[in-house]
Amino acid sequence: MKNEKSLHELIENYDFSELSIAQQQFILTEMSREEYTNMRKTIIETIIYFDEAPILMAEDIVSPKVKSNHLLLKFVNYKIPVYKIAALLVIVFSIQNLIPEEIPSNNQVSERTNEYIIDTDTFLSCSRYSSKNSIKYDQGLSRLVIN
Amino acid sequence: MLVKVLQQNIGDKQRAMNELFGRYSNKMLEFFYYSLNKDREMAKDFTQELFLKLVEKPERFNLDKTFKTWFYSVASNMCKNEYRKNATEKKYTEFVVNDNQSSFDAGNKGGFVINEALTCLKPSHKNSIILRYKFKMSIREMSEILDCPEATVRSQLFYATKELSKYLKKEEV
Repeated sequence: MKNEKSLHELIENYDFSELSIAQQQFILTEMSREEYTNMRKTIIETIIYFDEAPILMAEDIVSPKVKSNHLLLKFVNYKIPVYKIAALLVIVFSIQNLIPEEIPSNNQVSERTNEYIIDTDTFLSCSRYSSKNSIKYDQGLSRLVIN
Repeated sequence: MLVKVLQQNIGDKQRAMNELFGRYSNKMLEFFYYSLNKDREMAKDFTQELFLKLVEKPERFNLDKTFKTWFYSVASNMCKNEYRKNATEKKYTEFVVNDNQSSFDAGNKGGFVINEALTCLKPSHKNSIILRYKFKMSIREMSEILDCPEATVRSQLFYATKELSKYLKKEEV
């Protein structure tokens, strides 16, 4: 790796003939003189190729618009996807259906006055309406009072 | 620093964006153009996408790097992703002919051969050559852009030049 690093620096900057004897010897341990010359030629040709190439202009590319970071604008510009709105509506309606229409509060219950129904009907009086003594036996139930 | 204007809510952001666009749009277009084997339309799309990334996520800018090297490294990563997406890289070994630049190459045999040789290089080698000889980047800048040690960059350049040289020699014969 170290050799390649130094080699490339030399190839980029010097012709083989410009190198010192020590540098030439170092190069020759790694590659032939011809290879060195070819690589240097390649680098020079590549630089010329790029330098002579016409400059490309980004004419039909436009600078993007920068959005403001203002909180109010962010809020106004916030776009909710349709599926989120649909999901939200489903949740709202299902919650609405779960809630009972009216729940009497404790106060309403306490304010209600009790009604006592006094029914004086007896078992005997019932038998009066029964056809043909369908209730035959009076077991002595006196009164049925429903409170 | 212009990118700080974009990152923080200070100053005229649109003006800062326009300034950065003016400075870098042509360079980035050229970078994509050569990296993506002279596909001009794709280069335009990539340039536009790169600037959109800058607008949408300026906070991603790494303050440890200069804006130039950071911007080139984002562009370089976009190219890498594109190469990966087209894993065979076949698409990028085809020379795109219908372009103004190609007419320049056609009239310049050396240029044509170099261009063909560049398309045959490995993406990492091609990037090294483009950054070094087209954009005249220093080894240090390249190591920041390519996110690898300087020695690796030099080594990549050495092997890329060797490959190019072999190709050119073959063409001469």
